[in-house]
Amino acid sequence: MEFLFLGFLAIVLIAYLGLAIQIPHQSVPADVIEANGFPILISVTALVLLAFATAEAVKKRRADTAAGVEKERITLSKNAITRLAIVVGLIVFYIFSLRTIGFITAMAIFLFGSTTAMGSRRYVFNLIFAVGLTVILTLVFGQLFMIMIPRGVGIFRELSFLLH
Amino acid sequence: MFYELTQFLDPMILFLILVGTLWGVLSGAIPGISVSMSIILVLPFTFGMDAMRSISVLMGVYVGGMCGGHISAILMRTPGTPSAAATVFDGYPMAQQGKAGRAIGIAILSSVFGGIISGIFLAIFAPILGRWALNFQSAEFFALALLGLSCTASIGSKSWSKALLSACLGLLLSTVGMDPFSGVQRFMFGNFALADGISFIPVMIGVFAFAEIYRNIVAKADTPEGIYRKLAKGEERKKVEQVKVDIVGPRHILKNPVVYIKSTLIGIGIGIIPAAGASIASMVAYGEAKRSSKTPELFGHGAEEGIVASETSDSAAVGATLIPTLTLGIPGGPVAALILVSLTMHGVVPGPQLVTQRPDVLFGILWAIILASLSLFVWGFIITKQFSKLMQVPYPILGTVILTLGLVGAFTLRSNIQDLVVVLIFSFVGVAFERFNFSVPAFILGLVLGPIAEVGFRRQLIVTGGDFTTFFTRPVSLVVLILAVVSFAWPFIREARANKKKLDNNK
Repeated sequence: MEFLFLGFLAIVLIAYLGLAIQIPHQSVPADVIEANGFPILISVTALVLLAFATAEAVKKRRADTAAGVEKERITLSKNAITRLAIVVGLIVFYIFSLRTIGFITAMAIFLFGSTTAMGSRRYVFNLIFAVGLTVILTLVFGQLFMIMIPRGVGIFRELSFLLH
Repeated sequence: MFYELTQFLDPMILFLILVGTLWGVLSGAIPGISVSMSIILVLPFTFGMDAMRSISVLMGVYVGGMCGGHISAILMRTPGTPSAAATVFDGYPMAQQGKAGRAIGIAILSSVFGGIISGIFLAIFAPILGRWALNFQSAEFFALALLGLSCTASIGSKSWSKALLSACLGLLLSTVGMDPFSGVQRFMFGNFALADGISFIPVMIGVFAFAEIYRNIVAKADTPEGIYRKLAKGEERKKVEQVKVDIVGPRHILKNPVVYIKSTLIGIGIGIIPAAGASIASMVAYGEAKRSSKTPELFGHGAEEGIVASETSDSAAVGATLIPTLTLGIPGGPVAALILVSLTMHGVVPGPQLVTQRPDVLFGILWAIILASLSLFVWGFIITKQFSKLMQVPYPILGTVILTLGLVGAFTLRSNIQDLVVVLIFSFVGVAFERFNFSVPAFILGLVLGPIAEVGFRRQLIVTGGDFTTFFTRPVSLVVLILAVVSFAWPFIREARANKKKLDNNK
């Protein structure tokens, strides 16, 4: 896994370097570095460091193999993966539904879903918690701090006026 | 200075300091919520406040968070914050001897002492440093940013290459947006929401708070009610419930003046150094207290001096960490970076001008630290009493509240959904960094110091007509650059020395 991550970083850094080289030249007098100088310098440095990090990882792997140390395996239970996937899915749902269904509905769904997904089996409590915290957050941010929180569209927008 | 105190006697500000400190102590006491995370979670509530009120809350959380870690360290042998790790050595043995109340009382007194002295130190030395820094040019700011970055080799990761690579990745991210000199778009891909660059706060929420929650979801998947509830059951819980905190008065300081003063000075000295911070300060102070103690054999078995050293030094680092942040605009670590960003959002620009243009902010911070430190007496006792109940909060509720505050905080910053996407992306970055031993603090320092380094470097070259020698001909710049080289090389020198010692021992 570590080598995969290091490989991924290498691709990101090379792509970044390629893009940095393509940054157009719009020179300000005496700005010898220009807009692309800093990004190029940093990405080259990062690539060198990545080479060191990879060499270190290879060395460690070899030493572990020589010492008979088993490769570290990630042991995630199915339960853990499911819970994490649901919570991440809920975050994605919250982000992309915020403008459509509004803060109140999206937040209530997120709160109920997240507490349940993380393992709380007291569904009535979860529901009360979700509705209660949503109301508090809406009043604090929408009314007290006067922050424009998304109301949603259509019926969600109309319903939001009941609260703030 | 005393005018700001009158402002701080405003009931609303006092209330905010109390609430901030309460949240800080609470979150500090819960293992898994770092000081950075607790500050991130209150940030959205400070957006709608003026600068003074915002400072009050943030300082309360900072001071409270640094103190709160000792409660779980003493009662559960689990430091609530990394800086409370040294408190475990003597705090837990004292608890086992039935002296948990006294250990907590000493820890509270030490935190109050360290916090107040560091606040006074900040008020005295920040104006001096700030006035001196008024003569700084871009060369000096570039050198200071480099000094901050050079310290990253030794933080947050066992591997120097990964720590430096993390800082580089932060620097890379800092280049996204419109170029400050030519206005050229860099890595924006036509997305004008990125013109001002990637906001620090959503990145920090992602890498600190969300990544931590993901890890906990995975770790606690088979204990749905959470590890805290498990810890607060049975004998452990009974013991915790019976704890009565001793009120340890100033006489304790008069009895042990050397360890209090020395640990405070160590905390201040190390706190000023970029990337060093309270965790290192508490370990160094503990080591020094043991070395100079008349009874070193008691350390590790319930020595009161050990708790004093650890708690005084980590609280003393609070004010000290803020000195370079406020006067030079160079944060020494993630918490300082958060405070810097928060001040900037309220129109207060940290830097040399702060001392002359906004002394109210500087002295406001002093009073906030002092008042928050004093309120630790109240909250320390109350939270200890309620600690076993606090540990029963099921993780699904705690984790969900943290995620929610993170999402709300990221959105309310600019009312921009893209900031939420940034949180999501960087939550995975945080998990990967943790998994593969990269350094999140180094990454954050790179992100925050990147623009300071780039702008300083290029502006100095523009001003001097492209003269690179200017960085070495200006005395302050030269001294800071030398310090940067030394601090960069120090971990390698230390490692080489250790290897040599090992070889000599083997011979």
